[in-house]
Amino acid sequence: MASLRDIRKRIKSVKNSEKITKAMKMVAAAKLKKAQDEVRKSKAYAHQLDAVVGRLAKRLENQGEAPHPLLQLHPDGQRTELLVLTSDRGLCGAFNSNIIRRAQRFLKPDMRVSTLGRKGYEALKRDGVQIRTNYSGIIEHPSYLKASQIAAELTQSYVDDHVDAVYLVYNEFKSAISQQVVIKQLLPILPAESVEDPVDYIYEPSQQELLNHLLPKHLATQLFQAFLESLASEHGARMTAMDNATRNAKEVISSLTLQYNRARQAAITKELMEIIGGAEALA
Amino acid sequence: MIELEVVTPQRPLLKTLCDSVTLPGQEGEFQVLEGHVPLLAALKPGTLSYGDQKLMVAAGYAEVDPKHVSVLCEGAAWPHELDLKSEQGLLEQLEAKLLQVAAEDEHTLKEIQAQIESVTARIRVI
Repeated sequence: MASLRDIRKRIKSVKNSEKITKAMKMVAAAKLKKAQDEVRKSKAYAHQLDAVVGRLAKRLENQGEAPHPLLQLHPDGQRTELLVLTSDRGLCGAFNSNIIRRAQRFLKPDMRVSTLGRKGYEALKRDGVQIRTNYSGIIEHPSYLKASQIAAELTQSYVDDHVDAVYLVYNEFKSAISQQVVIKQLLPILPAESVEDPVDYIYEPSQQELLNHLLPKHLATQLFQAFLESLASEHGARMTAMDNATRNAKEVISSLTLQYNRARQAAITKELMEIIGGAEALA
Repeated sequence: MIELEVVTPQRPLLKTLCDSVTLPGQEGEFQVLEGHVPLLAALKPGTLSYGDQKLMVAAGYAEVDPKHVSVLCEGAAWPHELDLKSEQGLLEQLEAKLLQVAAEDEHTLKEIQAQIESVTARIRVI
């Protein structure tokens, strides 16, 4: 049986871990709130842009114009690029491993892979996946500017015919306690189906030029939205994970305390027996 | 009265009723009153004004129908959120950078010019 001192040491160390996990949970909760807010605030823009692009694309299609290069499918294209969006930091439960597992199921030998976030980069590299680029330092502080830079890069390689399709795998933010891994097609762009009858607009400049202008923005917005959702999901996942860890630590502490008290009682009993035994021998 | 709405990727900035809106269109500044024909116009970085309020907007576009103007731009700021000194500093930096960039590097050149344009737009609002 473990000695009293050993048990006391273990209780102390578990208590320390509990403090840390509790603090991390609080931090994650605060960050989650902020991230959630940002997701909500950015929705209006994404939504409206999607609607406008959808209407414009539909109109041009109705007029029998050739579709914009970014909307056009590359038929029988094989060269696919997958963007893997994970977090930079761990301790957030299955957040990253879910993404990585999903990405690996999706991957085919000749696909190009780019990663956003350190965890995904490390895991995929360990598995021997060739990684084209790792965009680092983006996930912690998502910015629209960075999203549009990546969007420009992707657009360029699509237009230059280096890739035929681009997909993004990331954690969609459902609620503070649930995330869902989704694979989203980024290129060719799939604009929202517009149901309403397009109004006769005056276009300034021409429709073609406007679409040229709007499509890269559409892509950037989708990326930006994914960054924000992934960040919110990460904090949510971390909060849940740390909550579980705190609860487990509490359980361990209570069972160790029980063991400690038993051992102490046993020691006292033993000592008493010895004293009584000694006194009887004297009498 | 016409409803004006300004939205950026970061936040919905403004939703208000006003008499008229002046917008920095790519093909020239234009004003929108109630009953305007439906219009979809690209905007360049500049000043959006309505009533006695001014707002700096980055590149984007405006969708206009008779009762509603919605502006979607990549960034927007109120004059009081901007600092003249730091913007001027930024402008000088950019201009210095512009001189260094080789003329054949068209992509960077364009990028810097776009940045200069938006900084100048911000300075004009202040």
